Amino acid sequence: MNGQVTPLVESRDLSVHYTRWVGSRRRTVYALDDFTIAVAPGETVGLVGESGCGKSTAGRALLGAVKPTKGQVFFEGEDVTDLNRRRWRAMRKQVQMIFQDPYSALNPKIKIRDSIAEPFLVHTRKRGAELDAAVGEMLEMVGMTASAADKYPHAFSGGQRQRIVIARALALHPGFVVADEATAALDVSIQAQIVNLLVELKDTVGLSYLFISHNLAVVRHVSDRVAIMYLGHLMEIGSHHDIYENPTHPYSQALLSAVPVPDPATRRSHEPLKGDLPSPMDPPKGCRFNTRCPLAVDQCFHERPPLTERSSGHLVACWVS
Amino acid sequence: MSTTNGNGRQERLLEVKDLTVGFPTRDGTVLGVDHLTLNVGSHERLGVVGESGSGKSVMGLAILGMVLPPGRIMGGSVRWRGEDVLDPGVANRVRGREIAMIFQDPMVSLNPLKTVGSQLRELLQRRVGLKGSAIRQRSLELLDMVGIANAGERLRAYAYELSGGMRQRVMIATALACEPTLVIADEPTTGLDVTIQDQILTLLHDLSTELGMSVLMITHDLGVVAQFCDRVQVMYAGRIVERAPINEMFADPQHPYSLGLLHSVPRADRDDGELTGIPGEPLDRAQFPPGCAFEPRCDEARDGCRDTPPPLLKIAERRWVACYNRPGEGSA
Amino acid sequence: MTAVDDTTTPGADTGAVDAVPPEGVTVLADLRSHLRKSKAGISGIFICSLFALVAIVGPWLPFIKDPAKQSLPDKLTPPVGWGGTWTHPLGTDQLGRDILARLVDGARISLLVGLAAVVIAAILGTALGLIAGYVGGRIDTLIISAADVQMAFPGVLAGLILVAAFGPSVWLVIVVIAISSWMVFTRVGRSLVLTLKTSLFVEASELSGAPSTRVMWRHLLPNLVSSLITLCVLELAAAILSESAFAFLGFGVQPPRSSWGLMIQQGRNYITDGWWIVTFAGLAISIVVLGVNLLSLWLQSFNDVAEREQIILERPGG
Repeated sequence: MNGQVTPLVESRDLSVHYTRWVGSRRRTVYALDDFTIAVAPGETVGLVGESGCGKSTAGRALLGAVKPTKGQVFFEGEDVTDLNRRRWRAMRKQVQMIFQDPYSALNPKIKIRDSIAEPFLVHTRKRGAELDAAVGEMLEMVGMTASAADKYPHAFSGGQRQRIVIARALALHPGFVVADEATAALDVSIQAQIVNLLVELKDTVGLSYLFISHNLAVVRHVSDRVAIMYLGHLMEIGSHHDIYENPTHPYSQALLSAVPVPDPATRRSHEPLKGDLPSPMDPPKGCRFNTRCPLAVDQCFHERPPLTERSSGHLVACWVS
Repeated sequence: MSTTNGNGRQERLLEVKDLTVGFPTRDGTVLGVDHLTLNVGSHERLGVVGESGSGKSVMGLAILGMVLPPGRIMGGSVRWRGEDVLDPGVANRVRGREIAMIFQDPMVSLNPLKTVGSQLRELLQRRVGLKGSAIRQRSLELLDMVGIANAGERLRAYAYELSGGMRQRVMIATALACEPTLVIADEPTTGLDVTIQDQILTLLHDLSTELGMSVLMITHDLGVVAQFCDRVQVMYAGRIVERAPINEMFADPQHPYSLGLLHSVPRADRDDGELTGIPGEPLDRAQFPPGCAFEPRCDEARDGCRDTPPPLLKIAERRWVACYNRPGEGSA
Repeated sequence: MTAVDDTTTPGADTGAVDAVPPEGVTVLADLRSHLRKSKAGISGIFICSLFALVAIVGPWLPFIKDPAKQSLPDKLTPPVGWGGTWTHPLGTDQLGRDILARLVDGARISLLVGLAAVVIAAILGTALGLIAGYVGGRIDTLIISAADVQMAFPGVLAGLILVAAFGPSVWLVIVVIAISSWMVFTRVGRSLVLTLKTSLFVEASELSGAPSTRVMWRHLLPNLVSSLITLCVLELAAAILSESAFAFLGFGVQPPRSSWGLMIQQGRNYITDGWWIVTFAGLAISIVVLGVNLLSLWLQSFNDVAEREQIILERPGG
């Protein structure tokens, strides 16, 4: 998928560190380290990992919502890392975000119309009837009726709210959308609706997604390529097939075998991954997975393994495998 | 994980019949659990699966006679080895001793002001009647059993000092303290990371096999059910819509809701076709139709579905379905 | 794609459709139909508008006497029912002035001072709280330090200093009360904003490129209103009482004008001979505070969108 085409969005060695007060001590949180990824036009890249792996930070850094400590972000080949305020505002039309919690993502005090109209008000000259028509069109695009515009968020269920959030994100026809755990708060029957909607919109509107999720099954369903993160580091990145059929990093393997498959016929005995996730305030030296890795050798505790290409487009950061 | 858990004849431990829990609202009484029937045998892992609002958590508490006010148990019976658990005397004897509970969020159940050790101590003194050094001995043993390393050190820790997975292990340890015969686990791994969920499920599975405990696993996650349970009941809108042994449920679901649910879940182990999902939204409790609650979302619905809720009927050995389109042999 | 008919699925949306006013209905109409269902709202509005009316037109009513006219022979006449006559329905004070007339006159001062001070404090305080909470950083530190200093500074002392500088006047009292209560709004507003600004809807607005002013005005402020209205009422009551304190110290309204606070302070010496002086003034304060409280209760429930629609539509006939 990558290669000749200019990526739509690309990051190079993107790092985000920030300080947090813990008691009376200042601690650095290593949220994201040397994150390099490219998303081609029309492509869905899944970003998977457990809590504290930096996947949300990565998504927000790509959107310029979080200021990177180092590294660069490119949009259509142009370096947008240090754009000024005005330029970033223009960029907002091109990149958008869908959030995890549809209950917090809509302002409870304003009508759906006003939530969806906001991007139009900020970026276009649409007003009055024209604006209403645009809002209605967006609602219909996500499978709602235009009359929903007159209601307040509390009148809707989680799934419907998520549709509204999607309508708002797509209002200005962005090319790139970061979906941050977009279905995590939904029931499975509703999750399926939203996943289908996102897949459908990708084709009809022409979108690229960075699909951030802890749910490997959903990511498998939607992604062309998949990246696996652990404690701020990219561990493995490759095509859908590379990751799910030929996972190479020991963490990827452990993660995949830990997912409970909804099929009793596939019950298998396996040894669960030992230990807890280390704190991103105190990550292990060398490979960050070394405290839990069954294959770790001496080198893993001293040197960080670089991402190396194992086959075309399949990169793994591991000294052993 | 093996499909069957232990062998030999199963003894009926818990028998719930027509349990109904109502919550008064402005629009009249809303039934959180509606004529629920459920049996748990010895050495059995029964799953109850449902989406939010299906009443599965209300059920879990109601089985122990606990309903948050203003809700109340409006009818039905709960028997534990033949005794009526809804009788407060029996409930106090059984609750926490023969039947223990594990909840989703251990922070709610663990006292934030007390160390793990002092909470275990209190439990072992009061409920088990241990004294002196036996308490510490047993505490260490319990923590060891749930796979907590440095047990001695952990006894001095407070709940907030532990990670989510560690807290859930402590919670399981407190549940095991009285050597229960049945553990009711309400979403015990929801909110935990995948690898930690895997640890906890494996732990629960191994413990139930080793100690011969039955587990009633309440969850929204079909994966957890498929990997953990022997038998499963699907709940929708407060009622059981289908009950089946685990393999049959996943291979050949009968109720349209079970079918829709299974077609909504993507799989991580293979590429699946399109997810069909289930159209519409779960209903607001106050707006249940008089007939089958799933009827508005059901693509097999017909006129007869709208009048009275379908009863749970036996359609084959160990298989029960509540659907007018799947006529059964006799009533539950 | 089965989900497209989401909101048209029978039953799926019925509650929501019913619970929403027909198109074109404005917030004002919502407000009216909501009010009809709320006893607290009606009582609050009734009390508040009655007092406002009295304050505005009272002095021109034919049966209201001159509040400044003294008549020593008539001093300490008890009210009707306690041996008084209809000449002075609520009796007279120690200088023979008509209590009813003085109450009406005092209503103007008390309401003017209370309202003006609270409005100034609320606007100033909330704006600063919004900015401090949302912008953060040095501006936050600056604003919050100023609030802390103000909090530690006794308002009466500030009043004394200002009166010493400019001489006593009602406007000065308003300013003094406003600057001794703005920080309450700042502190509460800021702490609410700090929680709110982590909401995803704020992030969504920022990500759509909305300028900070828009985020503050459209997204943060509406979510502060219900809490701040409650605060306004508490502060209004406090302001009316502060005004009386200033009047007593001689910094506020000057005799022969009257204010409720002044009446209480002056009447307190005659409480054994003329209980009615303090009683009616005190009652007036209590009833106004009660009225404003009821009003705020109702506004608060109106501000909670979910509760509003429930009350409008689900409770037949209130």
